This record gives sequence, structure tokens and C-alpha cells, in this order.
Amino acid sequence: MNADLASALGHVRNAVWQLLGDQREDWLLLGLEVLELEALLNQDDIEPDVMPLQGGPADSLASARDLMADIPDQVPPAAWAGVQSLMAKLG
Amino acid sequence: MATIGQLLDRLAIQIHDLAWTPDDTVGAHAAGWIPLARATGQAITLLPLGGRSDQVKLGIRNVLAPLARGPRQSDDDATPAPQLVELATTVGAISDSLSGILRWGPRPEQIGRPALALEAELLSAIHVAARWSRAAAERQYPSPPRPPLVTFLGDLRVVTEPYALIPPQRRGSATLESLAFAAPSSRGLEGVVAAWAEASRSILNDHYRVSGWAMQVIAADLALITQAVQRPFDLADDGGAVAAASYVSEALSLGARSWRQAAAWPPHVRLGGQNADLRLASRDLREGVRSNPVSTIAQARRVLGLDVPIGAAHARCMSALVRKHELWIHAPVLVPKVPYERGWIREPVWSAEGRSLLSAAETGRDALDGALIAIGVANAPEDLRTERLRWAPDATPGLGGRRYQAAHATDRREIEQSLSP
Repeated sequence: MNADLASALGHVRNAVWQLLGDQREDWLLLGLEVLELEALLNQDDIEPDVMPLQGGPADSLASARDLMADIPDQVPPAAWAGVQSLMAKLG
Repeated sequence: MATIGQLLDRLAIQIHDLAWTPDDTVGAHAAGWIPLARATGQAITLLPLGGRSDQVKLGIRNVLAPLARGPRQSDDDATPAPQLVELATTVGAISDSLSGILRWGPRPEQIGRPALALEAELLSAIHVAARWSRAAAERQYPSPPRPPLVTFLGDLRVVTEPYALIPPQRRGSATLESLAFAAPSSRGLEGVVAAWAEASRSILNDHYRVSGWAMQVIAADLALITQAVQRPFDLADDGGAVAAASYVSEALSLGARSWRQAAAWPPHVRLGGQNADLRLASRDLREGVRSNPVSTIAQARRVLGLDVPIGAAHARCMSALVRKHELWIHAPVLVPKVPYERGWIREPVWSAEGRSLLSAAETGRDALDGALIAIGVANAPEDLRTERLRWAPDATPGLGGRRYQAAHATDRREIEQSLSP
């Protein structure tokens, strides 16, 4: 049941790595916001999957959002707003 | 949240406003010196003067002790002289602030000269108070025998006179005077950073609460604070106002980069756990940094002072995780060194996946530490507080308030405004 959530978390963790691993100044704040999204999504402390890296953090978040759409009942409402807002900020 | 320097300003005003009243009896002064001598003794005890602390402070402690004990035959009806009570409140606030600022022990840049400068500021004020109080007692007892208070105050006057003889401009030291004890309830960025530091410290000091997520968030928050602190140094560097600004700016750049690297855990490395308190504190920190940019070097020093111990705790914690192989690795990453296995396994003893994260954290810690030491010894002319009223050892008791009040009316208003809640 948690498979999609674990995969979505995997993409979110990829986005964190991509944002914080890059030294662009504004990506630091975004990285912190994605870390908060990760905490929101993983309130039961499940083990995330390791997913293939996407082209950039926006793509990673898009992949996470697609997976989240398959399991709406497992996604806290605040996480939807969070992922949409982050994707908008990342263009 | 008042800085030590602002409290010294208040002390200066109180000293200059000392005036005799009909209620200035020996009993009232003896009762007033009990809290003042105690607060002064506590403040002096806390100052990291260097050398053998107990020996160095022995002289002043010995003359304060009988005043702090009070008269052998106490006059229970005597109301403490209000001027001395006010001085005791201010010196007590300085002592409490020092206690909070130095609660993790003094930093290298605070030991020695800055502490001596602050000691001189305090004891030169106490010198004037002792002269004023002794003169009040002598007025009541113009000829011997005089009460023991007169003798005790005479001793205090002699011991503190060398401090009062130090030229006022050489007594100040921004290293300690720009600091304040920031608590989570404090206003502004310092309060937000103090709350975040408290949440972070509680996690880093509890092995069972440490999670990969918390380590990432704390490291990224350290990078964020470091970036924010860097701003006034970049500005100062442009204007050439601060000699050490260039070095500090470079150290902070390195610190921010390193903490960011320490926050970027590869997706195949993790450590489970949840930290809801940190989530809130980190969010408040982001908002605080956005809405209250660091504007002065004194503020940068205060914020960095809260930041540095967390950096050290993070690096220590990361070192333990790496040394004890407590991180979890996604097993397929380790193939072919281990047979294929699904899911996460505890890091094998031969693996060193967390080594680069530890190295980045240690570099970040050292960079912040170096920057704080450099800020501590930097001259920062644009950082000068409200020009402080200075007193000389020849201040005439009873005239201070009236003589100086008009000339420094603006200064006084500014100081009072800066201290208002």
C-alpha cells in the first residue's frame, strides 16, 4: 500500500539532493522547503525507495506529484499545496 | 533583549545621576551594598580574565565579601538606598547576561583582554559608587569613630581605583559588549535563532533522536544563517570599513558552501526518525531570516555566537554516525561488493559513504569558528553603540546627575529607547 508513497518520497529526496547539492543561492531555501515536504509526506517514517534521478529538481517533484496523485488518501492536504508551490517557484 | 553594552550605558547614566537625599543613612547604604556587592562579585566571577582565575580575582572578591554579607548588627528597619538598588539591578542584569552568554564556556576571542575591558568598565563604575556612598556615610559621621561600612568602602575604593584610571576609550570592547543573552522568547532574529538552536541542540545531544532528516535540516539551516550573517561583512568590505571583513566574508562563504554540502545527503544514504519540533523551528528560522535581515556586525556576532555551538555539535554527531557505521545504505548501491539485496541495510564496516558529509561538516564548523574569532577581534567603527557617557575618578558625588543631564539629554533618550520593551 505504501509502495507509491515510498517512490514519491524517493523522488522528493532526489529533489532535495539536487537542490542542496547545487550552490545556487535561492536553491538553499527551496531545498529546505522540500525537506519540509519530505517530513510532511513521511509522517509514519516509512523507508523511501531510491528512484532514478530526473533531469532536475522540478522534474523530480513532478514525478513525485504524479505518484502522489495515485494515492490521494495517503497524502496530507498540506503536501499538495507544498509540491505545487515548489514547482511554481522552480518554474 | 539588552546587550551588555546597553546595560553598561544604563549603569553609566545611573552613576552620573547619583545624588544625596535626606534618606541616605549609613544603614540604608549598608543594606543597599548587599545586593550590589553580590551582583558585582557574580559578574566578576564569570569574566574569563585568563590566568588562574581564583588568584586573579582574589583582591576584588575580598573587599566585596564584607559588603555582600552586610553589617554584623543589621538594621532590619533600614530600607536599602534606592540608588544602590538600581545599580544592583543593572549589574545583576549584566551578571545574568554573562551567565547566559558564557553558559557553554568562554570562546577563545572572549578570554583575556575583552574580559579585562569589561571588568574595568564595571569596576570603574563601582569605584564611583563606592566614593559616593562613602562620602554619604562620612557626612553622617563627620568624625571618628565611624561605622565599618566606611572602612569597607575605603578598601573597595582603593582596589577599584586603577580601573577608573584607565582612559575611558580604552575600557570598551565590542567583543563582549555587543553580546546579549538571547532566549527563544527574545524579539527579532536572535530570538528565532535561539529557539532553533535549542531545538537543534536537544536533537543533537540525544542519540536516539538523531535522524538523517534532522541532520540535513540542521546543516541546511546553518548554511542559511551563515549566508544571512555574511551580508554586513560584504557591505563593510565594499566600503573598506572593517579591516577583517574580507577574511570574515571568505570564511563565511566557505562555511555556507560546506554546510550546504553537509546537508546534501545522497538519496541512497539515510537514517530514519522524525523531529516535528525541528520542523517548526526551521520554518520559523526561514521566516525570521527573510523578514529580519542581519543589519549590523554586532548582530552578526550575536547570531553567529548561537550558530557556532550547533555547528560543532552537528560535526560531533556526524562523526559518531560515520565512525560507528550507523548510517543506512540502499543495498543495491553496494553491489557487487555485497550480494544483491533489496532495501536498506546498515552501513557495512568497510564502507565510508558518510565520510564526505562528515568532511563537509567539519570544514563548515572550522570556517564558522574562524569567522567568529575574527569578528571578535575586528574593529567595527560603524558598529559603535550610542556614545556612552564616561566617568572619571574625580567625579564629584552629588553633582553628577544635574551636571551631565542637560549635556547628554539626547544620548539618554536614545539609550532609554533602546532598552524599552
